[in-house]
Amino acid sequence: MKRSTVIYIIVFAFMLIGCGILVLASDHNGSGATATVYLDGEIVAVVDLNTVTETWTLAVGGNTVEFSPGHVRMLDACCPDGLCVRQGYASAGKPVICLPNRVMLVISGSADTGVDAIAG
Amino acid sequence: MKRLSVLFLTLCILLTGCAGSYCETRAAFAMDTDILVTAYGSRFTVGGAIDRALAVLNEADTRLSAVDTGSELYRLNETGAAELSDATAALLARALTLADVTGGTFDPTVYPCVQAWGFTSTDKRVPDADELLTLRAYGSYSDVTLDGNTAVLRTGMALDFGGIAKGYTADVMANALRDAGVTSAVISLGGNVRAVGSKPDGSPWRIGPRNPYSLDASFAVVQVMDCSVVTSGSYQRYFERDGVTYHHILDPSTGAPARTGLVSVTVIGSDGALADAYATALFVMGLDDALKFQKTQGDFEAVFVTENREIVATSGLAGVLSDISSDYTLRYAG
Repeated sequence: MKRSTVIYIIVFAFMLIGCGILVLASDHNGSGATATVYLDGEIVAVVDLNTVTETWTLAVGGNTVEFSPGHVRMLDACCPDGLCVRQGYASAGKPVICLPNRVMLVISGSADTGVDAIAG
Repeated sequence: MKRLSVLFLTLCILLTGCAGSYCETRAAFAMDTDILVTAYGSRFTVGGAIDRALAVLNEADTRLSAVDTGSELYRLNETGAAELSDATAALLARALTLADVTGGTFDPTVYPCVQAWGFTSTDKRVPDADELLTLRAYGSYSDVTLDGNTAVLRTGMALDFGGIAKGYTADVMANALRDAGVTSAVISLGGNVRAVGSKPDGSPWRIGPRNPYSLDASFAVVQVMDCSVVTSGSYQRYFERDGVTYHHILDPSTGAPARTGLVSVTVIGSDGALADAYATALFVMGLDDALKFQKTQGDFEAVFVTENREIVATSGLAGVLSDISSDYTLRYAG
């Protein structure tokens, strides 16, 4: 085998390994929507909404978070305004936020819902 | 050998397409609001980059809070004179310049009136016009002295960076993300949005200004890259007393809520601090004066929502603004 051919093979092998690392590094966070529940900036639950088959609830910081197949929302909140309850289901770019109790429902990894963020 | 070279080059091109994009979203609470950072890039860099962005956020919050007793601003307000850090002095200089450019419709010295209305606490009240004029008589932005890093206020004056701090901080966070190798991200500081670069596929970010009459939705979409989108709206903070609604955007000339027929103003610009300050200023100016101001400045675009459910957009947004809610009529100004 020619020396140049050997060099090509070695370089190609390195590129394959590099590609493998790149694929791992850039791995998308799964195809389904993931709901992350934050309390005061700390993650308290991460739920793959595609694996939810029946409705269940979680008590977080005085609020009640409801998970159902493909969805998450603030079912109940002990704060006076209840704004977060009226926000309905969280979606990508539209987190549900309870400022008084510092609870946040954030969706990632779901299909495009039209906006990447809400201003205002 | 030629064939092998061609094969090698083809493989090189194909392999470069392997680099997709890892996405991470992180939430936090700071500056009395919710923070959301979504960044794309390599799995090895994104987490650390968001850590850096949140660190500069917390650092800015520590310096700029008007209510935190340990902040530089609090110390200045309490003592009337203080030696500021370079960054805080630079922001104060910027705020005073923007106050001057906007003819005082944005004015960080309106803070004593904000306190009088109770917008910094849970005890809301309706101060009378005399009380507000007394508070405004303590001084305006032109009465703040900034010599080097030394700031001096007249007796009774107090400053609040509430109308500029989030826009400024979003810019600083965006720089921290870029320095850490992230070229695609979107930051929201309580709805004060900063787009970093474009989406990973190269298309613009789609930012939706909140619909004042349907708060869980947007009334339109603006497509932006490397840009801030900041909205000031009367729906954001308000209270009702005896059937009257009082919102938090105060007219510095009276100290009372600005009633100009506008419900929200969204400013789109490459400078977050400017966009933040102008969103307040344009709301206070009212539609006609705001449109004239935009024409003379030209370094930003704006979208206005009126009480008549009309959307008025500056002409530079033609082709950028889309997905208009059917609740509204749209017209482009001039």
